[in-house]
Amino acid sequence: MTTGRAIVATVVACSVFLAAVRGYCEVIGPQLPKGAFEIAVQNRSVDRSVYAEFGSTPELERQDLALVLRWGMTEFVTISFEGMTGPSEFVAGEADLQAFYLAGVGGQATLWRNERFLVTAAIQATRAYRRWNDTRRDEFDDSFALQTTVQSDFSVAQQTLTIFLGPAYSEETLVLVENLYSRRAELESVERWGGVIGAVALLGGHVTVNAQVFWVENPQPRFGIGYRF
Amino acid sequence: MRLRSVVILATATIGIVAPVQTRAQLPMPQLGKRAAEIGYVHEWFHRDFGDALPAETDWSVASVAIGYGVQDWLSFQGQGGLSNVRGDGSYYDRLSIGAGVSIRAFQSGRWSISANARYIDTFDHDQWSTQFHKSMRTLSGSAQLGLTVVAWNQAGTLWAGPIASDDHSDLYFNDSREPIEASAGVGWGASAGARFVLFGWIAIYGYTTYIDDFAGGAGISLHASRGSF
Repeated sequence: MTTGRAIVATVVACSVFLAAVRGYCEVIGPQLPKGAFEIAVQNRSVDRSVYAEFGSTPELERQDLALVLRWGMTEFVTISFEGMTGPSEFVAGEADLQAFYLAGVGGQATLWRNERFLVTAAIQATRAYRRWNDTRRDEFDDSFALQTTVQSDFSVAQQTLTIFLGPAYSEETLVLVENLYSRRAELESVERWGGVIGAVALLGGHVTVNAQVFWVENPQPRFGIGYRF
Repeated sequence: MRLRSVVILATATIGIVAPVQTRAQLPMPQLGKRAAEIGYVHEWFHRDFGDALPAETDWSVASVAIGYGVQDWLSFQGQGGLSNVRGDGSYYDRLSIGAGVSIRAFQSGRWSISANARYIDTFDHDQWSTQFHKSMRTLSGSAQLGLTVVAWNQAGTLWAGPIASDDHSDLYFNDSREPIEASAGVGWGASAGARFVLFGWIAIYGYTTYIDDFAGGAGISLHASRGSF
């Protein structure tokens, strides 16, 4: 890999990423090895308090399921996408939905490493849209997150276990759209700092089992299973 | 070989036989083993919905796309996008999600035959008082006869072949919770396109299809032939 090629690749990847980022996110895992490609399904919990200027303070409690693609693009950069559609309760975590869409993108870069530890910085944005059958109200749920983690690999029963943890920043914005009156209310999280801790077991060199707790204001667990090529 | 036959059969069944509510027409690139791509693609669709409303519909989707060659004969692709689109008396928040699979069923020298299946789902949420939301879904399948070429010292592929697409639309007038459903039905047509990988790592491609009317797309991606840069 030439330095010029790596720089151009990184710049183009960042441009694509920045062009895509508009919403909210949080599907960041350990940094992948160079060339690895992972397809996974991940369940995510969101549990936050969001506030509006006029004082309402609803709890935002959601669960959703997303298909996650992650690619170890270079030795130092991992990019990820997540997406899902389908209004079923199993996928969107809500009953009686007419429509559900989720799209997100993330990037992770190495800051420092030695033989034992890897320090990374990550950014992610995701948007989810829910439309109910029985109310004239729609909802956009936007997440934006930054995190820095220390990760390390361990060998357990001849399988690879990756542990990662570190501080995290997370903005959660709930956009309520009352279509009948063309009104939009944006409610934003106030508590935004916390941390993340997670583990990924790589079984047989290909199957990944992922569990992590994203703790900003409240513990918000995520679980996933995938296949790494 | 048995697995390959099963996958080919499944893809053909999903992409061509199953007349499910959907819409999509983009032939996917066939990537080599462990090749990966990330980039931007813009697609234009146009189907005739007959007596249903609207009688004719054209729409476009801008997406970030990521692809991976699991084997020399099997590639996966995911795509998604968030955008704002201004229409006639409407201003849409647009979300799109899609996924596809491409299988090279036969290769002899510079010639190959591939089968593709793809699904894409787009929701337009109208922010203006018209509240004219729209949902478009497409399931498509295609077979392609491909020819590998070299032009100006750059490797490329030209392809053409039959395509089938089933397009479905839900229209929500005045934010109605009971959509007007319309289906263009399974339409048969043809597609043709070209794709070049410049300097080994920038892929550019374009294609056109004809089902009821002309449609097409164009994209540019970073291409990593061995999985990473």
